[in-house]
Formats: sequence, C-alpha cells, structure tokens
Amino acid sequence: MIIYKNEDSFYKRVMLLMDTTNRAFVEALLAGDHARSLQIVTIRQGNCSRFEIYNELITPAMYDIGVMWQKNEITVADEHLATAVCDFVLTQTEFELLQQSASPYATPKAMFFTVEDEHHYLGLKMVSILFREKHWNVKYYQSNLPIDHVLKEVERWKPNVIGLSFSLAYRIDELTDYLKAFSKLEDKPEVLVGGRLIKNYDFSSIGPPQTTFIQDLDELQIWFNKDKQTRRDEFDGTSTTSSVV
Amino acid sequence: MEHQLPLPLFNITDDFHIISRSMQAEEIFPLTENLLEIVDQDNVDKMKNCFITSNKKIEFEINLITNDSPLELFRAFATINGTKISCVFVPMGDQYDAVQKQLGELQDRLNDTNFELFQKKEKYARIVDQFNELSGPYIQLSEDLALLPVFGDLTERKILAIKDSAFKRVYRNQPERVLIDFTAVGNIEREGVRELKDMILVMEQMGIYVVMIGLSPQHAQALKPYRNELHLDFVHSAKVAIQKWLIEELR
Repeated sequence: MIIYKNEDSFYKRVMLLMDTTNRAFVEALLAGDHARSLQIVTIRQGNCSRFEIYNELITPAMYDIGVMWQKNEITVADEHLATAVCDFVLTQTEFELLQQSASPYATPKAMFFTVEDEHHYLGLKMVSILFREKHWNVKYYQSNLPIDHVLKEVERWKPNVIGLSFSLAYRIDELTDYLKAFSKLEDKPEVLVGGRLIKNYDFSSIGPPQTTFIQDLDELQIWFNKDKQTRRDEFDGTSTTSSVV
Repeated sequence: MEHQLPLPLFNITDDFHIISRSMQAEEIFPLTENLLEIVDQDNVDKMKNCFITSNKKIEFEINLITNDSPLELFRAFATINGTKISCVFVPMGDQYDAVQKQLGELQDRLNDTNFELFQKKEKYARIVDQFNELSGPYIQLSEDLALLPVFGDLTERKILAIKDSAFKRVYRNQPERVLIDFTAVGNIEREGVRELKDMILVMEQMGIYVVMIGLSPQHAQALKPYRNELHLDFVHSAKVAIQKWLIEELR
C-alpha cells in the first residue's frame, strides 16, 4: 500500500486516476500502460457508445501521436508501442460482440483486410468492429494478404461489402489494381476504401461505381444510415411484406 | 575522407541543395540535386521544421526514398554551421521490424489469453447461475402444500435464479401454501433479503400463503425490518409445519 506524505500528493494521485481525458489516454498509450488505457476506455464506456469512443477518444489519440512524431517529440518505436496498446484496447471492446458471433453463412457479410506491408490498421479494425456491432457477419484479416489471396477468399465467401485501408502515398497504383480486380467480380460487392490518404487526394476517378471512399468514422456513420435505408427498401419491396400495395 | 564514410552523409545548404555526398549516399539514394527530393512527401514538413532551430546539433527520424525501397526509416544526425549543414542518415528499418514483429506476437498472445480468461469467466458465471438455480428446488408435497428449501448464502443472484422457476411451478400447481425453508441458509446479504421480499410479495399477490421455516436468530434479525410489510407465517421447523398442514390435510 502506498502511504502519501501529505494530502496534496494523495489528491494528485486520485486526480490522475480520475483523469479520463484524451490527453491522459495518449500518455497511457505512449507509456505502454495497457491497464490504464483500458481503464480510461472502460470508464468512458459508462456513458458513451462504441462509435463515440472510437471517434472521440481513440482516433484523435492516434492522430495526436502521429503529430507528435512529425514534431520530433517521439520516435517510431513509441508510435509502435502506442499502436500495440491501442490494438489491445480495441480487442477488449470487441469481446462481447465476439460472444454473439454470427454463423459463417449469416448475411449481410463484410470482409476487411489490410494490404501487404500496411501497418496502419487500427482504423480498419474499428470499422470492422462497428460492422459487427450492427450485426454484420464480419471477417477481418490483419495479415499481409497478397491480392490473389484476397480475390480467392472474396470469390469463395462472397461478401456484400469489402473494406480496405490505404495510408501510403507511393502505393496509390496498387490501390487502383485492387479496385479494378474487385470491379470484375461477378457478385459486384460494394467496396469501402478508408485511410488517411482519402482526405488528401481525389480518388473519385479511379474507383468502380460501387466504390465508396470513407474519410472518417462520421462518413462511415452516413454510409450505415444509407445502407439501413437501402436494406429497408429491399425488405419492404419484397412480395411478402405489407408495404407493397 | 568524408567521401569514404561508411554511412550516407550529405553536405547541404539551408535550402536543402546538395553540395556533396559520401559514397554510401551515392549508393543508397537516387542522385538528386535537392535533399527534399529523397524525403517521403508526408515527411517533407517534418524535415523542414527540424531545421528551424537555434540548436547546432539535431537528431530526428525521417522516412526517405532509397534505390531499393520507396519508403525506409532513417535516424538523421545533423550539424548546422551557418548556412552549411552536414547530415548523416542511419538506417533503422531492420531494427524496428524485428521488435515490431516480436511486439505483435506478444500482443496476439495477450489478446488470446485475455479472450480465454473472458470465456472462462463467462463459463464460471453460467455454472454459478446453474448452481444457484439448484439451490432452491421447488418441491410439491401435496395438492395444497409446496416446499422451497434454500441452500447456501442468501444472495440477490441466488434469489433471482430461484424465483423464475419457482413462479412458473407455483402458477402451474396453485398450492395454498409455500414453505420456504431456511434451515440450510448460511449468511444473508441485504440485497438478497430485498429480492426475497419481492419474491414473497409476488407469491402473496398470487393468493398463496408463504410460511418461513427453520429460521435461526441471525436470519430472524435480518428479516425483521420486513416483518410488518409481509404477511408471513413463521413456524419453528419443517417438522412442525409438515405436522400442521400436510398431515392435517391428509387426515
């Protein structure tokens, strides 16, 4: 048990433990403090949705860490450590959803994968969890998947949505290759492309018609709302429902 | 001498124009006139900002374009002497890759272990629920009399587990009286008593008399605050209760 010499330091310690601000979260991630990082997220879970935690705590924290590297305040090693801790925290937020995982054949299906040598995967992981939360049947591959492996899995599993993330500017040509390959698929899955490059470049000319570029989680929310509407229309439009006159 | 250096070295002006470079620099990087041309486009601002300083020596990490790779991480060491700058780049890629791989593996293990623990906890919780359900079996003694012996400590979770099946059985069998037997009850938690009170009230509303039997002095003390609220009969033991209602009924 820690005995504090005076009340001030005790209160400082208590205040530190109660500090669930974004700044405290960034500090915990950079310190490699799994327990503290998870504690902050758990406290926030008391009155925030999963989307709010991802959009208002985790994403800004990882963005701040990127800025700190740009300012030469931290090293890539620090960034990697923070990413690993953040990955751990994200996995914890997914546990209860994994308990109620859908069968491998349940629909709608969404498949997410990171492309070869892409280490910026946290955004995609958050997106995959949010899909799972909305009762999608989700497959998330975080390994380096070559394009032919991805295509084989897509043809076999037939997802309704394919999600991928790009963050390296010099690999834009590869993104075009992926999108072209998806446009040739028979089932015409909807393709969602995310990643920090989307904000800086105009990709509208390279994607096939069923491709949507998602800048951030707010845009994902808009996509979810549209999708919900479309699916409702599909449901209402079938002959067994009362809305058909 | 500088040309022979076993690391890539650039002598540049303060606008990044390359004045000279070491042999290693010639081998590793494309031959450009300006140093910024070999800096990854997302890192150009960092490079420029690092040199806006009053320090004579600076150190930073930067992603550069090499002949072999479109993106490779280097640690840069630079000395600034007026408008002349000397900058050495030490490749970092391999060191980080190994650590990152190890970190990834540890992370995966941690996640797996954590998930296994979570599953064990869930399994344990299910076993506790099952145990709680079995700690309050509903026994129909005769057409009008049922026995509900409670085993173990009286907790909120236990009563919640018991009452569900008890209500169903009571509704189906419609006994006149239910004997709740406390003989095998250990400690009583306040939340457990509250939940018990709710269970008894529901039974009363269903028109059933509830009789508490086998209460110890500690049990009686814990139930005292609810005595007036609940219209309960108290009987000393199961023997007396069975004598009073079951045997009498059978006569």
